[in-house]
Amino acid sequence: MLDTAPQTNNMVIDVDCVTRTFKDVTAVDNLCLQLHAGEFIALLGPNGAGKTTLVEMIEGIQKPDQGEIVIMGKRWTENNSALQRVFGIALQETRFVDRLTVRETLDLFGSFYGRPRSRSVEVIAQVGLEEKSRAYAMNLSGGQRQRLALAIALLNEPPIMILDEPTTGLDPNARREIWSILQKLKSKKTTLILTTHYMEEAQILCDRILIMDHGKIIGQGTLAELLAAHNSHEIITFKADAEPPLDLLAALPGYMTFSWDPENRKGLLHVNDIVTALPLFMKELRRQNRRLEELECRRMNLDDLFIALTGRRLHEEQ
Amino acid sequence: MKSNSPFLNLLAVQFKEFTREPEALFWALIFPILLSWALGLAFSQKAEPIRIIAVVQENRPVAESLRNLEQWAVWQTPVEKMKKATLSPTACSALQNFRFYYASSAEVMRALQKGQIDLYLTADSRGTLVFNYDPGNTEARVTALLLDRRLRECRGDQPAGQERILSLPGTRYIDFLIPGLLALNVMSACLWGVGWGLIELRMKKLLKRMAASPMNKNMYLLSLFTARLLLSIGELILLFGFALLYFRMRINGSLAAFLLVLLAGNCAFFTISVLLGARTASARVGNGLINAVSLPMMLLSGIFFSYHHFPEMLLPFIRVLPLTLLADSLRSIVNEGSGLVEIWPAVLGLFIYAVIFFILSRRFFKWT
Repeated sequence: MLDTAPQTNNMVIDVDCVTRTFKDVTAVDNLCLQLHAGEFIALLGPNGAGKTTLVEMIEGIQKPDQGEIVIMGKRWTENNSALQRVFGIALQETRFVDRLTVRETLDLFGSFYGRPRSRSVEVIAQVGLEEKSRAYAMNLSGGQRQRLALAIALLNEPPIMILDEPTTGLDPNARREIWSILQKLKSKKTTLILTTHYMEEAQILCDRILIMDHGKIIGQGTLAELLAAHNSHEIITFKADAEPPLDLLAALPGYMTFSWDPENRKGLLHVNDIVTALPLFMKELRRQNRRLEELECRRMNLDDLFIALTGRRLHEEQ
Repeated sequence: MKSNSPFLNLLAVQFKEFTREPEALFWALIFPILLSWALGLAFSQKAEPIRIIAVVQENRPVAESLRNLEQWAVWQTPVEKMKKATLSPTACSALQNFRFYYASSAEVMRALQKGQIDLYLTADSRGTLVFNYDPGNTEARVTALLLDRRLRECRGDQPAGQERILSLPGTRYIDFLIPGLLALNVMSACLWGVGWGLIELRMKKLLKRMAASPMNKNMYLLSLFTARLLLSIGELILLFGFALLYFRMRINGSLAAFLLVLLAGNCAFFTISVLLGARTASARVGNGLINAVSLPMMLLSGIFFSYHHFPEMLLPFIRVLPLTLLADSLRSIVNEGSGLVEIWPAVLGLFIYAVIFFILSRRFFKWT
């Protein structure tokens, strides 16, 4: 096994200016990233942002074209099998041998890590698949399959776990079940990298959020830090019979930006404090004889932030 | 079982995948037996076919010459029904597989064009019978030779030699077929089991996940190979067990040589399969690759029928195909009683294939 002593300031992953290019696409572009022991980070970004390429380079599955990656003081080229034992990995959308049971699949992977069969029983309990332990992998639901992938990642009690979109395509309940399993890992000092395009997931599970687009990290920090760094906007969205005059809106206290969608007759007003701005806004509309059809007030969330940063939505389908 | 051996686990996966899918078991193990049974029956117990000889009415000398044929069974029914017509009780017994179709020359020509007959009789001015047929048509030639011989027998002429019908083990079609089927089975079990298996694992990203674990990759390939070898021994026992009991077949040569050839064949086809499964993660490409390898060999290597009918210039190429090497040497052990001395060149050839494809697949194989 790998000794975990030599790291200074407990850095476990050091990605040093790494680039990876496929044909004419730069999937990861001169990216640097440091991770400390016990940290939970989320890599947030739309499809094609380079998340998978980045985590697969950290996992040793792909090699960077430039730059280097140091895991607990060691490099992939010289320490393959030692480093493979450090990671717990769940790849994106892995499927398993159709007619192998959950238990047998775990026994198989456990044997690769030199773990006894009793370890399979432990991880089955950890991910709550006891009832399915004798079911064929082909008969598992999407959520159960993801839990099996997670159980495999847990087999070797890894100090670092990397989960590539562990909840993509799952319904909200199945997603929450995965989250609760992952939250329990925090007490075990596991370091976790999670890629996702669900901001809620990043928000709930992770200490640090990295927003990735076009192979680069374009923003990072805790959710509060991210929002603060990009001005803590609050947002009023509304639908009205006609566009209110801009000069009146601009006179509101804490006014930041306003945009109007004439086709849907919808307005999007950014202010820095809804509590003071909203009553005056309502008063103005009444005075202008505008009829309000819909009104919604909220704080800026990660999705809004993401649009502000990239001009794109996290979910393209939304 | 307390210990958790990766090799035994991997091996068990191969067998579980197989035994838990009854269809897979049927196609891999039972189907070849059914096929050999059906083909063995179809080709071994085939009765001598009824041959129709047309006799041209207008030709006076032939009528003259064939006056005796009246006793030899001449009919004038529509040609379509002649095969079912029963033989006249006055007919010469040597002619029991012939029916004579007595018709105008126009009708005879029409029947010839339709392929209902392939030979007709006329006679020259001296009354000698003339056999009219296309020498390019093998069946017509056989009919002419047989008719000539049978007519002599009816006249009481002594033939040049006696005929004896063989049904001895080792000389029948089934003896040719069974070793070929076993060879074919080695090839398809490897191509589909290993080649397709790897492609499927890559499609599922399971291959990538396994490669990201500290699994020993050589051991993984070794487990695949071991499973193939065990399965082909199982198939050998089933197929030969059946042939032994049902067709009274036996392996005349050395069993050790037989097993060595089987090992060499499995090595060659295993490495070919790993190379086929080296890169692609597409079902369509994979299917195409496997067919591109298996179809030509299935056709050329003489599994169902001897490859000696192919053009002479192709034979040197056909003889060195892996499937030909495997089928020919299995056949020669089973039927000609060959041993190591006779089959070592084929074994060497198969191992050379294995080495070449092993090197190529090491070079091209991608785990991710």
